[in-house]
Amino acid sequence: MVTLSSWIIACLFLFQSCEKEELSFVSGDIEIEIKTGDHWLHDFPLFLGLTKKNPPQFAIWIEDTSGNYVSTVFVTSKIATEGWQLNKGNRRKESLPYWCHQRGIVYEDGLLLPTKKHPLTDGITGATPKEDKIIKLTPVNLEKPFVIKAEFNHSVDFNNDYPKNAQEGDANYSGGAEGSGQPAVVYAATIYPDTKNAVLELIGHSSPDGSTGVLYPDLQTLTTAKSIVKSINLTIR
Amino acid sequence: MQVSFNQIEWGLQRTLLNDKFWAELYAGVGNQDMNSKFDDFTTGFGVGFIAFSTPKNQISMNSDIGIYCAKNDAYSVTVPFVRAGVRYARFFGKTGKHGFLIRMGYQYGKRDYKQAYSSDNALVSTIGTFKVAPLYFSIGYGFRF
Repeated sequence: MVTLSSWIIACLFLFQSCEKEELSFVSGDIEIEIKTGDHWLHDFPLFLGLTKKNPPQFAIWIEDTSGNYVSTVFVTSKIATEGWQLNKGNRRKESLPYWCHQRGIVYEDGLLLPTKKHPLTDGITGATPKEDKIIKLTPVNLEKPFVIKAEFNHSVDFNNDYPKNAQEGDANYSGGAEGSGQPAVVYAATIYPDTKNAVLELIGHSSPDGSTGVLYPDLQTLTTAKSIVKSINLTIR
Repeated sequence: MQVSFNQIEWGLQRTLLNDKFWAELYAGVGNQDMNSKFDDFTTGFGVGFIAFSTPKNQISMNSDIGIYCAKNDAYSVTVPFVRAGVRYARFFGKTGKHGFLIRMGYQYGKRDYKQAYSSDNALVSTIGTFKVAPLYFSIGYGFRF
């Protein structure tokens, strides 16, 4: 009986220490709320027909109104640290090409993606959340208006317009059998001095094979990629 | 010693109160955080009840409490967890001192952590959540002293 009581007390003590962290906001802070869409999780093939539900890779960053990159806010860890498992040297340049080109930092192999040796240091890196996520942004020396952009992408979300068997050189080639499938989608919102709330609008998709930083406004060829996120809401406190 | 795809544990077990109950203290390494390297630390304490046994076979029910310390370049977090499961042991050798172990069960542990970054233009912070993998399955080797 004494043993059982000690056991219960130990459990309660341990779990009482599990405080829930919360972000606190003050006037001028910007709350970025990412609400997950119907296709936030996507089946990624493993082996023997088994699949794993993978969340997307994404980046959020700030630009000025002329389209010049200012600062990264958040990038998922696989992109930020070349943290892919069993990628056989494939750096997956098609994952978030628009952010890569806007950021414009060239690494030792000529690609614009951070490497294992030189991971991203300008911004927060984290595991991709499986649920809604909130990020607090406090502008410092940042004159309004400015633009917040976000880019999201799933691997292997092929559709009829971006098939698995597209050949290198084709306009819809997205990296081959383990490539992107549908290209990354890009959202943006401009923050003006009097903005209190804003929603990032879907403004286009990135280069399917990641070879350029061009933004394509035609979204007709995209299907499930358009519902990776439900909404990205900004609230200026 | 118990090995699974995301954890390696070394433990010491002894009978408790009578031959039907046992207690175990263990420690190990894991790769459950985002860098996928075996550089996390875990330790725990468990009690078990032998539900079925023959000279060569043993099935126990067990429950544990422990902590899992995940550490990588982006964050570090210590997560308390509870675990409940079943262990099958098959003893072999002339004296039955060596054992092959299979363990499976459910575990729960979850904790939020804060991340922050500052640049010349912005301060950024966010909350991440680390969850211990809910299901575990491991195989192992035991030696009876």
